[in-house]
Amino acid sequence: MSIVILCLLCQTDMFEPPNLLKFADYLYIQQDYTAALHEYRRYLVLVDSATDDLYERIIECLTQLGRYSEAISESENIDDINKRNYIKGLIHFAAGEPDSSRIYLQRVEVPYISEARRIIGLGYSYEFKFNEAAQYIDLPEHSPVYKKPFIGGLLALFPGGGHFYAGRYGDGLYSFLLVGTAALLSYYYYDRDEDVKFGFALGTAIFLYAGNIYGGVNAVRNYNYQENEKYLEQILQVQPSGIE
Amino acid sequence: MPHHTNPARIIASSGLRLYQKFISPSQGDVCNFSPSCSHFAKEAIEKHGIIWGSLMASDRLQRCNPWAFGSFDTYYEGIKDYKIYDPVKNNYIFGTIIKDRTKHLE
Repeated sequence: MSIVILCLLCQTDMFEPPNLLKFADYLYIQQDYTAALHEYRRYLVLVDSATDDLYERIIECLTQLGRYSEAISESENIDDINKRNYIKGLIHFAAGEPDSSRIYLQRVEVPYISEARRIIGLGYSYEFKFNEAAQYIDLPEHSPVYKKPFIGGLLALFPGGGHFYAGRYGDGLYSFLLVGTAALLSYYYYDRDEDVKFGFALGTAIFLYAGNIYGGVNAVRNYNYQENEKYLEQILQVQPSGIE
Repeated sequence: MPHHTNPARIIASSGLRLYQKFISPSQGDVCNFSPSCSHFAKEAIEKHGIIWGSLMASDRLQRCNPWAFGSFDTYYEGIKDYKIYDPVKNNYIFGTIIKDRTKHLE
C-alpha cells in the first residue's frame, strides 16, 4: 500500500494546475458537483488569476448544490458586469426568488437579453402573474378560466352549491347531506318541544351551514389555483423551464 | 381581546383537547387528512381566532368524506403520512395559497 502511495506521489504532474483543472472539469461533466467544486477551489489556490468561465462553473456547482448565497458571493468575481448581473439573476431564479432575479435580469444587455427576458417571463409565470409574463414571453392562447369566489359563497346558500360550482361534487353532496340532516333534526326536536336537543341540533346546523358557505368560497379559491397551475404547465411545455 | 384570553377560544381548544384525549383514540386513525381534522381545527383557531377558525374547521369536517381522495393530487397539496396533505395556511380565504408539491409526493 505504502509503495502505491509513494508511486502516486512521484507522479508530480498529477498535481499540476492544468491537470487539476482537467480533473475538475471531468467531475463537473460527470455532475459530481461537490467533488468538482473542491477541485476547482484547489486549482484557484495554485493559480494567480482565473477566467470568468471558471467562476461560472464554480457558481454552477454551488447552484446545483443549493448553496445559493455562496453562489451569489462567488459571482462578484466575474469581471464582466453584464454577465455578472445575468448570472446573479439566474441564481436568484434558481433559488425560487423571481422578484430578486428580476432586479438583476432587467439590467442585462446584449448578448444575454433574450434569455434574461425569457427567465423574467418564467418568473412571472411561476408567480401566476400571467399578464406581466405576457410582456416577456409568448403564452399559450387558452388562458385560465377563473370562477368567482363570491359566486361560490352565494351558491353555497343552498348547501353544497359552492362546492358543486367549484367542481367538487363529492364535497358538495356531503355538505348537503350534513347540513340537511342537522336542519331536519333541529326541526324534529323543535316539533317535539325538546329544547335542549333542539338547541344542540340547531347549533350544529348553523355551524355546518356557515362552514358550508366558507367552504364554497374556499373551494373556488382552490379551483382557481388549480387553473393557474394547469396554465403554468402549458407554458412550461412551450418554454423550457430550466436555465440554459 | 387577545386570542389567549378569549373565553370562546379557551372553551373550543379545551373541547378539542378532550376530544383528542378521550374520544379520538377509541376511533383509531380514521381521518383522511394530515393534519387530522381536530389538529386542523386547533391550529386554525390558534392562528385565526374563534370565528374564522371555526369556519375553517367546519369546512374541513365537510371535506373529510368518502370522496375526499377525488383529484387529491391536483386539488390538494399532496400526500403526507399516507393521507391528504391539507395545511391550515391554504384554507384561510384571506391568505395566499402556496402548494409546494415537490415536498409532499410520498
